[in-house]
Amino acid sequence: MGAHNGLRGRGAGKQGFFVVLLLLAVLGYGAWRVGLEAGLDQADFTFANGAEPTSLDPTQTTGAPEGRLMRAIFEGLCVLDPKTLAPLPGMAERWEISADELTYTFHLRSGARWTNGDEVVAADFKAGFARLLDPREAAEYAYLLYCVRGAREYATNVDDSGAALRGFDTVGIRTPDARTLVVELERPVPWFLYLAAYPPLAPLNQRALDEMRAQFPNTWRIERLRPENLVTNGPWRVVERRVNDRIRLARHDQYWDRDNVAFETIDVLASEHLSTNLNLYLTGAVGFVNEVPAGVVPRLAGRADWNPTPYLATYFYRVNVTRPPLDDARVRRALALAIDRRALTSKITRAGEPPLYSWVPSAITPVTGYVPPALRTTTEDPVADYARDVAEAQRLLREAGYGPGARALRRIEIHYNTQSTNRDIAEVVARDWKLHLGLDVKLTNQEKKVALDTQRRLDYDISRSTWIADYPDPASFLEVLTQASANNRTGFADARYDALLAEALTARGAERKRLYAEAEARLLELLPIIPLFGFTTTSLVDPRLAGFHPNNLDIHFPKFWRWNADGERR
Amino acid sequence: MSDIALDVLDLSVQFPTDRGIVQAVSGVSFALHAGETLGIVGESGSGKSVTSLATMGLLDPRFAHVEAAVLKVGDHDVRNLSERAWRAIRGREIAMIFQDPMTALNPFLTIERQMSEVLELHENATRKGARSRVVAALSDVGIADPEARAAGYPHEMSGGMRQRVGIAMALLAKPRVLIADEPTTALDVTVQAQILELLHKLQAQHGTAILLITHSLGVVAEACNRTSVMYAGRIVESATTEALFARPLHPYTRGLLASVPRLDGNPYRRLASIEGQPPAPGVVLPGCAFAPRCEWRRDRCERERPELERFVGRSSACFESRALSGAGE
Amino acid sequence: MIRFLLRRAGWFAVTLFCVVTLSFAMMRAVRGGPFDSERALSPAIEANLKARYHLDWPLWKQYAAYVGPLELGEQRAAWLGGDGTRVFGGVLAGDFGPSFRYRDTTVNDILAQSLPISLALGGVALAFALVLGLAAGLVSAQYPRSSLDTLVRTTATIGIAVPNFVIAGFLVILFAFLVPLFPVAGYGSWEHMVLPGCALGLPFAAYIARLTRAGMLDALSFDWIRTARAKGVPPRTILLRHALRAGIVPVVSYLGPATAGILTGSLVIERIFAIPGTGSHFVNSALNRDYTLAMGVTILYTTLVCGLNVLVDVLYTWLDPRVALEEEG
Repeated sequence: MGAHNGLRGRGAGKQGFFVVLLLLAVLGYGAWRVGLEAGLDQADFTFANGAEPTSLDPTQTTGAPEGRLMRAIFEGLCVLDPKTLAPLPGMAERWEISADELTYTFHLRSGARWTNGDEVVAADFKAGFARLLDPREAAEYAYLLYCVRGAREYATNVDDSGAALRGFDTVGIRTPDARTLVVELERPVPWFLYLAAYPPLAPLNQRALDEMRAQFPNTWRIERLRPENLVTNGPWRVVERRVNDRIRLARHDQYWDRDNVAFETIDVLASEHLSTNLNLYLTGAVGFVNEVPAGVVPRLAGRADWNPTPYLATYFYRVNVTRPPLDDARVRRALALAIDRRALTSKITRAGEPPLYSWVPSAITPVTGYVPPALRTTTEDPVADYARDVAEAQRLLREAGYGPGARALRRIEIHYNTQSTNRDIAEVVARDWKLHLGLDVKLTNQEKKVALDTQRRLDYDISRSTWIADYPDPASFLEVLTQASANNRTGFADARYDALLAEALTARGAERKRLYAEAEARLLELLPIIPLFGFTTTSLVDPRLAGFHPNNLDIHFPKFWRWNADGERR
Repeated sequence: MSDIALDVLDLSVQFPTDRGIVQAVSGVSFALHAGETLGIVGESGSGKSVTSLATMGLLDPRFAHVEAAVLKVGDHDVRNLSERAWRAIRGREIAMIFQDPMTALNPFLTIERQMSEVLELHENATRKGARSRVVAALSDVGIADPEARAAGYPHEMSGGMRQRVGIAMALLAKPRVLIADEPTTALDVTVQAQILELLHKLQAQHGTAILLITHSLGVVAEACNRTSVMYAGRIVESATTEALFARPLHPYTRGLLASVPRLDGNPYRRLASIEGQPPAPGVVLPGCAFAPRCEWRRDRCERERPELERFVGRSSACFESRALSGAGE
Repeated sequence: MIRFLLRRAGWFAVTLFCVVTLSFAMMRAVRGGPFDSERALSPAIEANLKARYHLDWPLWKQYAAYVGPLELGEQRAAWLGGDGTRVFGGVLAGDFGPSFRYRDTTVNDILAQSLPISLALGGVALAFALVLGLAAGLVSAQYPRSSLDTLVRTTATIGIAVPNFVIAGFLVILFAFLVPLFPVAGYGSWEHMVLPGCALGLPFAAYIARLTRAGMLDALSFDWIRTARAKGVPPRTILLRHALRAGIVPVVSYLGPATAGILTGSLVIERIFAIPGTGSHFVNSALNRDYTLAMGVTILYTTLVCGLNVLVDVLYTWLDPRVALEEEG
């Protein structure tokens, strides 16, 4: 408090209280106004989408929340059947694949329109692909198109300013006429139609972009993505966006399949707080949440709206193969075998996750027919299997020269990014290793991006990771661990493995699967990674929502969503 | 309407505490007439302030038990009065000024606000209507530039001026009785005299009865018609001020007088002081409370408490008083 | 007043400079960058991304460009357009730059959209805390040691001890599930603000209740309160007119930290109730290494907290006339 001997008093008597009252009134009025202005009428359907989308530009997005949004506002050449995941016509009403599987010819439907009234033409797809590949646009998912002839060369050869050295005409994408798009691939890509349904391969209305660029020469990157300026071609358009709150979608009236789009309006809520999302779902405020808090999973078992389904994602430990004693494949294998995976999935994660003994998750089989090899044999008796694994692990360690009567293994550190499930899992793994292998294990948690940096610098022994497939193919997993891959981060380099994958690139059919199986078997022998389990979807979906099916890709196209005939809106 | 402005008979105040009941005041009686000043003198802890607060009804009934045979402010019997009824009397019939003018005024409110409040409460005055009377009252107590001072705050004034404001505020509703609790103790000697003079002047104007609580015999000598001396919660001697100073009957009064420097006394004489301490609160002696410190003490004094005994025009509570008063001569 | 404001503005500039510099240095010292993810970027793409956001410059240059619109010659890339015609204006020009994570938006856009929401939530919480806290504190002080007082004090102790996210949980269970009065989370109407406002405000209400009670009891023991009672002022007027201003000085002192606490405390509440305010960006921007957004939020909060402190100091002057801003106490 100030001095009390001031000569000049400055009391304001009663008006002082009025000032405070006024202040409170202004605050209250502000709160009321803000609340009022935020008022949107109830949408036909609302779902909790997780994190705020990083962008509304399909070429700039990579995450699952962005994907869900993009599939509502953009439509690619095809869409995927919600149940079977079979490619269905999207912007392309039909397509032909050449006998050598290298040339895809898409025939675009007539009457498909952008939200600005323009017809969707083949050039729009070419423009979208060009933008995805343009190195100056720095699209993280550009590599998805590297399978197109000349695309990798176009995207990775740049001058000092970062611009492409080659013209886009060197890339195998042609538009013989307005309704025909021809894509020439470098090698057979069995999953290309899945890619064609993937948001980064959305078309681009170049005219709208150019207009924005002319109108806002300095800020067009932002201006063109504002709801009022954004031009899209999907079932819905964006009418309002409030960061960290919601994106309001309204049906696109000129969408070609408009009559089969059930919801007039959709609210896509951005909230990362899992308990909040669960509460919203439980009170009926949202009809679909993608993820629930780990703690409630056990209590959801048996609910009609809870259908965890394995999808293409692996929970695994990276092993730094450059650090002794982990540079010895026998040690790595011992570590991999001594983990009781069934304990992890039945006692910790508890959402029906399949214990994994392979790098490619078992959910791949229903999608592609590829059957991953396993690092151990599995019989009807899981207890005996594990006992055998432990015995084998102990034998391997002795063989490597460690254990009773030999060298003691040094302390091994497990890094994990801060999260309670990761910690619980690491504790069980550490217990297994301590118990069966006598290993002294230290657990270290790191914030996510720091943990990533630790991996990149190979400054770890064991580091927790997740890998989610980009496309439904074993290659999406196996390519991660090639010597050249920036995602490798284990120090693992095996010429034979790399050669097998290179060979598989150009192979087709059963031969291709065989090569991948051989590569994966090689990987499971050398084990630069220790797979633990495959993820399952953790969605809660209003049972009255039709057209939504749990699937092995956890990909959902909102255009198929509708209320059951007998289901009333809450 | 009787001439007695404040009539107190057999007032006693008890404070129940964790360690038993503390008898703060017992059997105090006095009558205060209009236009008269009665001084109550005593050391701190003698019960004089508790007496004044009890007569104002300012003791919290949760912590103090007040009993009296008679307790009248003017015609109002204020025994067992409700808080609400008391509020109509306080400030209007009986007002009070306090010892420390630096803290007795509210530093957060203007002088005018604090003063006009009295008129708003007791005379249903409007704030506007009260203003001129506030200014006049300030002028009456000798405050220069009363308009400006009324708009100002207490911290802008000296201690003497604040006490003047306190007096003006207390007398605003023209109360019958003014209790002045050590009104000059916190002030400079020169200012003390001015304040006492002011009180005297205003008393003459309004005919206010003043109960002056003080520990200073000097103040009593200057301002009071009659004086009561309190010791350990009781009045031990009561007389006209003149008689008290001329011929104190109680040994305690004598002791007090002996400890006051006198202008007419021998300047080389050592000042006497009373040996020992008054009994601690809660300690009840069977005999005279002053006995342990008394030089005239006898055995009887320690066994039996002397009642306040009336003499001509005065009273005293000591077995020796009769002899000293000359009543028996 | 003007001198005071000028001096505070000077200190604010110094504070802000330190905050900007330190947080810039700290953000960059933390491992991991805005574009790191489980999927590694190809070198060409990473180089282009970094160039677009000038992350390829030496740090001092990035800092200079962040702070001010300095002409640095080779500003080849633009944040918002691809043509290099416009460069980021710099904090001094009021331009906080583009968000690294939300690529369609600028930090200015995000703050402009979210700050009113956070302020509204903070306003609701603060109003709730003040109304409830002051009322409870006043009642408690008016009837000390009553059962009401005990209830208030017990509740306040619990309220202070329990973190706001726990309170939020209770409120959600009570008023969204058991008695579905309010929406469980989300934003869009005044109903959405009730539960988060309460959850955010309750601990502060509890603290304010305690401060008010203590402050009022303290204020009620001042001499001028006795003066007011002696004037016959009724208890409610004593409480509101004579004691409140002195009694809530501790509350006012607490308002600055409380508001800062409410603003920063809102990050948890905003997450739990899915309120699209600034608080949720506070942590997320750091986790995402969204350098510009994290800096923007930091600068914003620094400004808010400094501004609030000035406001509180100004508030003192009308609460207590003895305080003058010119004199640094």
